[in-house]
Formats: sequence, C-alpha cells, structure tokens
Amino acid sequence: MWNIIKRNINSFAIYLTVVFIFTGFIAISLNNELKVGYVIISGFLVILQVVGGTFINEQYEEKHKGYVFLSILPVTEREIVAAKFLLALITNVIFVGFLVLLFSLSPSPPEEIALAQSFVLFMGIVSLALAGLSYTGIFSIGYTKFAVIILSFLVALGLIPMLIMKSYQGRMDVLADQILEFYAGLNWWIIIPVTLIAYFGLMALSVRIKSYRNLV
Amino acid sequence: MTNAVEISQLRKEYKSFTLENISLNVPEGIIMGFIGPNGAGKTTTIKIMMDMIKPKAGTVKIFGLEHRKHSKEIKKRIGYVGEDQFFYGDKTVAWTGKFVSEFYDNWDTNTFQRLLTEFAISRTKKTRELSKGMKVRLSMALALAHDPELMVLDEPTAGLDPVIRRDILERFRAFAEDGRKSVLISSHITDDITRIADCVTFLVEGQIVLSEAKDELLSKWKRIHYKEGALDEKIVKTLTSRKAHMFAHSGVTNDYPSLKGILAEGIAKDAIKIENVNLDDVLISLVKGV
Repeated sequence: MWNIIKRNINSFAIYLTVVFIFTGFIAISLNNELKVGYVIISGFLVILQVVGGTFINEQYEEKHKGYVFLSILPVTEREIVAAKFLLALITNVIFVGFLVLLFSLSPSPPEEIALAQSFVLFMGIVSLALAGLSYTGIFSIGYTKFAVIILSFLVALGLIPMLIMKSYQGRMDVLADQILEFYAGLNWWIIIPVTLIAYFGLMALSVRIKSYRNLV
Repeated sequence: MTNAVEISQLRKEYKSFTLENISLNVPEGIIMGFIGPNGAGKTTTIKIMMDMIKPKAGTVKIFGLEHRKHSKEIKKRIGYVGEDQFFYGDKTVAWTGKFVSEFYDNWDTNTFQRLLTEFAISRTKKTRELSKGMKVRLSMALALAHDPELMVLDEPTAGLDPVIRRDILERFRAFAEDGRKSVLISSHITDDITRIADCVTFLVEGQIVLSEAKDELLSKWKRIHYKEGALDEKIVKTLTSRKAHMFAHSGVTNDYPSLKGILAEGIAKDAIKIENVNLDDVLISLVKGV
C-alpha cells in the first residue's frame, strides 16, 4: 500500500506546496491578521488542495491505464483504494493542521481566531467529504464520466451563492451573523469522528464498487 | 506430477460470448500452449486466472490455492506478460523496476538489471518512449525478476517482428528448462506454440475442443492425399478440411495410428500419401470441421 501512496504523493505534494506558499505569502503580507478574505481563501485552498490532488491523480491513472498495470501486481483492490483515501486524509490533516496552527499565532482577538479555525476545520470536513465522494464516483463510473458530471455540478454550485445573496438582498448583516453563528456553534467532538466514520464508510463502499467493476 | 494450474468447469457469460465448462490442468515443468482463433476466450480464461475478471461458475486453483481467496499470494509467484503493456508512461524504466520491486518479497534487482542489459533497454528511458518490442521485453524483465514459478503469457508476441519474437520465445523456453517451472502461453500464432510448447490446448468459441501433448497430437493428426476410390468412403467421412482436386483428394485425420494399417496398401501402391500437419492445420480443422 505504501508504494501506491508514494506513487500518488507527487500530485498532492505539488498542490500542498502551492497552497503552503500562497497561504504563507498572504499571512506574511497581512501580518497574520485574520482578515475575512485571508480566512475564506485559506478555507477554499483546503478544498482545492485535497480535491485538486484527487482529480490530478485519477486523471493520471486514467491516462496511463494505471489500474490495469496495478491489476497484474500482487496488490488487492482494498490496498489500492485505501492508499488513495489515506493520502487524501493525510494531506488534508497536514494542511488544515497548518492553518489552525497559523491562525492560533495570529494577533487577532481569540474569538476571531476560534471562528477562523472553525471555518478551516469545516472546509477540511467538506474537502474530505468531496474527496471521498469523488473517489466513490470515479470508481463507479470512471474518471472521464465523473469529471464531466462534477464539472456540471460545480457550475450549478456556483449559482448557489448568487441565489443566497438574492434571498438576503439588503440584509447582508443578517446573513453574515447567521454564517458566524453557524461556524461558532459547530461541535468538533462530534463532527470529526462522524466525518471520519463516513469517510471510511465511503472507502469501504469504493472497495466494493471497484472490485465489482473490475471483476465483471 | 503436480499441477501448477487446475481449472475446473469454468464458465463466464457475456452478451455475445460464453466461455463454457473450461477444464484445464497445467502440470509443473510444462509449457502449455493455449491456441484459438481471435475471440475464442483465451484472454478471458487468463484474466480469470489472474483474478482480473470474475467467473460465473467453476474453480481455479493455482499452486493448489483457490485463486480468488489467495490472489495476492498467487500473483507474487506468477510472472505475467500480456498482449498490451501498460506502464506509467512518464516514468523511466528504472523507476518502473523500483516501483514493481516493492510488491514482491523475492525481487532480485541484479536479475532485473542483468535482463535490462541483455534486452538492451535503457534504464533512463521513459516507458512511453519504448517500442512495442521493448515494452514486451521490459514486461518480461519485470515478470522474471521475482523468480516466478509460473509464467502466464497472453499473446505476448502479437505484433512483434520475427527476430524479437524468436528471442522472446527462446527466453520462455529457457525459463521452463529446469523442470519445476511452468508456462501457460496463449497465442493465435501457432508457430510460436509449435516452437516452445510441450502440450497444447485448443479453444474454439469458448470451449476446449482438444488438449494433448504436442508430439502425440502431431503424430495422430495427418493429412491424407488419396486418389479417387483409393480410400474407403467411411474413412473419407471422418476426415476434416477435405479438399477435392483434379487428380487427387485430401483430408485431415485425427486418428492416423489406427488408420496406418488400413492405409498401408494404398501407400505402397502410391495411391495414398501421408503428410505431416502443423498446429495451424489442426486449428483450421477444428474450427471449420469438414
């Protein structure tokens, strides 16, 4: 399993390096003050890093027929899928952990720090869910089909903020308050274990799907 | 003699094709040729053996182990070379060797390096830059470097020029020379099988129609050329691949030893001639019948 992780680590490492540099640059330029834009960009970088790495990796496997190559080697479907899921989890934990630590060093007030940390943790959860669902989707219908579907989904997703803005027209302060309340009220002692259980559930499902697809 | 491979009552269904009741043993130390026309089910059988597809029914035991339960353990003891080679194209030969080596406990780096040198494969070349022949050789080097007990070869020589084909076949022959190691080689190029196989199995339309030691088979299968009236009509009816010419007729028998005595008189009178057949002729007879 570790050799598959090693083979896959490059694409995640590239993204990880880019986001580290980018976040580090913003942190230095803002004196690590937790401005809204800085925190939001950092949160979205978590998603970009995990989901981007996942897609780059699977595109690579598809291009080189990597799974056919692996199928003749003494490695089980479980090990292949576990390697993919573990790598996404590890890089997620590294980057989210880095941001939580970076924010904790901020000169901003403690409640703002807690809120910013809560936001990136939430984005970590979202990115993990997206990575898990992406692998499950890719193993179900193949990378190309899944990429087309997810692209259409992302376009549709882009419309949601506009719809939200429209429904809150003239009451942006209400929206902001609700968002802040949402992040401040998250109970990480429940959310993190539940997310991990769901993530490993998706992993088990992916193993079944991949085995079934390959063996039909 | 123990069997390296035991396939029993294997069945696999597709919309337009069914692999039916395939039973086949590959004894230790034997090179088994698996012959059949394109689409006969050779690759399907091999993919089932390699646990790449699942059979509808039947069992496959390799080294005495049930192939699906012990897939990983079995693959560690098998060297596989397929018709198409898939590698990570942007990686070098050296990287590929290192990557594959980590899956095997008994990988021998010296053997791998020696084979690369013998095959004249540059370690620094990216795998996508290798020609078809070089890719097959790299596959062979990867398959041989972990000292497998069984080589499973699915049309390994398809699309290769005769020089490379001959070289590759000699390697497979040498592999099985110690009498402990077995080879299962599928091909529709019967010349390849004739060159190296001890036993042959013919697969036609998803069914095994003949499986026998090659020399025994070739001693039984003969083409009989006969003049009009020189051969009993009952015997003529048993012949396959029958042809009628202006001066003589011909057909293939699969039971020459039992006809030998009957034909002796005709042979002496020059009314009957016996010609050796090759595996191509046998395959054509099996596929086309009369």
